[in-house]
Amino acid sequence: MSELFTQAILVSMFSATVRIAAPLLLVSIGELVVQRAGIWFLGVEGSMLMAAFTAYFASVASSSLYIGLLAGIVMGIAVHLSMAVAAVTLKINQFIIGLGINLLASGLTLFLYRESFKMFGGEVPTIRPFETVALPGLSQIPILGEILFNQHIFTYLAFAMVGVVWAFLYRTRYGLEIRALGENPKALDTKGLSVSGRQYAALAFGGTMAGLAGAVLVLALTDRFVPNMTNGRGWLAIVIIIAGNWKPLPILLAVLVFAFLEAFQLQAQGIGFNIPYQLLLALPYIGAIVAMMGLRWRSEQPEYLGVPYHRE
Amino acid sequence: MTISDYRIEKRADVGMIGLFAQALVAIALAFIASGLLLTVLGFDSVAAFDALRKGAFGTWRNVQGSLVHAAPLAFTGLAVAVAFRARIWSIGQEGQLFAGAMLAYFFTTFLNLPAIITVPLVILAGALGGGLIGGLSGKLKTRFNVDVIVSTVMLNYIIAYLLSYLLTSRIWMAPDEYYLQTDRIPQEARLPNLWRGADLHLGVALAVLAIIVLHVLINRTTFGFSMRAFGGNPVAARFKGIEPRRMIVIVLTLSGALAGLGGVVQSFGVDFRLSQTFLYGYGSAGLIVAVIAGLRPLSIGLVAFIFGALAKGGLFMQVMADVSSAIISAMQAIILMFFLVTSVLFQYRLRRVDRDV
Repeated sequence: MSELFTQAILVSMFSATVRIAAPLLLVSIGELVVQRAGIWFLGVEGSMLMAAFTAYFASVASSSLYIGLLAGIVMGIAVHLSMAVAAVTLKINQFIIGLGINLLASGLTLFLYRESFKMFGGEVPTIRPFETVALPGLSQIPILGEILFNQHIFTYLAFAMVGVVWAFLYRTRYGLEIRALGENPKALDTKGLSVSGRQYAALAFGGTMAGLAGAVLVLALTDRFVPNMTNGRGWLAIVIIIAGNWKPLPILLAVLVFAFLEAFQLQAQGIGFNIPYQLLLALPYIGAIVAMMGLRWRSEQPEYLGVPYHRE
Repeated sequence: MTISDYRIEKRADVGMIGLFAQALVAIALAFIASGLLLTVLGFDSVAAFDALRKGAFGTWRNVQGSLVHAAPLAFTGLAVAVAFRARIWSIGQEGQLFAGAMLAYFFTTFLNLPAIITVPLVILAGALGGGLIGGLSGKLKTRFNVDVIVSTVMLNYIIAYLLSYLLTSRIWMAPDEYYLQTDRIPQEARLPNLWRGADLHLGVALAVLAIIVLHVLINRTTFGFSMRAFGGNPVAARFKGIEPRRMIVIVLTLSGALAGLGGVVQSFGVDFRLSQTFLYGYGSAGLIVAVIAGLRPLSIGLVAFIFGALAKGGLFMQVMADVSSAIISAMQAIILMFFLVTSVLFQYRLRRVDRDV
């Protein structure tokens, strides 16, 4: 009996890990492409938050999850493209504009949330979130089926994107060009290829991913918007990229570690672990610092990360 | 005959007056943008901003209130300026602010001494708490090559969770307390008012002092010169005998201490309790203040006062016009965004070029 119970808890914990990993993976993979293109965008947290906010209110207003999803993605792209204008075209300090976007997003969504709270008469409506999709056949596999193949469609998409982005970056000419943006933008420019055009495109892709991540957070993992609900996931994505050394597969690994810690935290009290939950919540952040202390391998950090490209 | 042409060219330096004009333009644009937002939401934005103005400057008492709101912002603004001047991108002011207030509060839980001893101890503890966390980020960089941005952001979260733990475990919270906040800070540990009947407390005077000290330190001392040289070019600075490792640790410790003082000033001068919400947002607001002030200490004083007035007026606006005071943090960010965009425009000027034909 107790063995069955333990197994049930483990299955639920690993299943939660995979579920929690999805938005983190989406936003990290998007930011990876952005950083590979030489743009050091710290505003992903804000972009994701704005997307979550938009996705929630659009789906409440239209009573359609799909319209909410679309609106979230559009907002993510819009925020990322505003970064493109500021960083690529106007060449404003990338670090500060990114922080500015985060502050604007958190202030604006908090204000609009409070105002809508008054409008709804003190209680915001909940939505009926996206259901999980059990993959036929695969979800019948004992234990693994429940953990891996009874998830949201976005979860499958997020994991698939790791492969897609890997193949794009390392097996296509466009991917090579994106990587060249971060390493040697001048080489592209002298070949007559547009540096800023590709950076805009990279940011648009990052915006799609961050928008999707924000929308998933509110439309699949919960049933309402809560102020600052991204809760540092955008920042964590940046840490994950550094910990994953700007490479897709190590990034996937880092995402899974962080997601597992959060899932463990959710279950720990149920299993009777008597550790303060704050310690478990802080573990990813402590872990990030420790992980970085241990980094000994050759850094793949793009040479021109955060350096605006000027043509002489 | 002479033909006049106009040409757009880049300025070498915007200068103090240019920076000032730029800040004014950014603030004006931010008011227009948020006014439009309020109008769209169905508010009377003129009435709302009038309430904001009255709340900030209406009476001498309100002006004092604005100054009180400005004090912690001046400290976090200075903390940002010190780090950024050396081009060390620390965003740990929020966590350091909490750490300062927390260490100071920790002392009050067992110290039982008269105010004349307790108050200076509390202030020192604030600087120490923030400075230790800042120094830790510095050590993590110099010893283990952990990126400063990453370690400071992570420490912000870690410290927030530590305070949350100290509260929910009721180590710092009375058993019958409903809200997540500490017990009230004892009278003898609170920062005294500057004179009888004043709203200004010792923290405001400390902020003014800190602004002056930092102005002198950055602009008039060898250390300030080394710091700016390090920020300008760390390699060249090395040849001038500036040890980069030491510089990073010292700058981050100093920056952290300033942020920690900001935490003490707010908690021990105004809130008289610690909670996660009371101190929230001063770090990020300080960052905006510092950037808009061009990382210059005296300008930071001025911008902090404007932002303090916004915060004070925002509370009044919430009561009078029913506009949630959360609009203020959005406005602060909007000001920053407009400032960054106008900074690009201000880099250029129209020059008349005369040609003889």
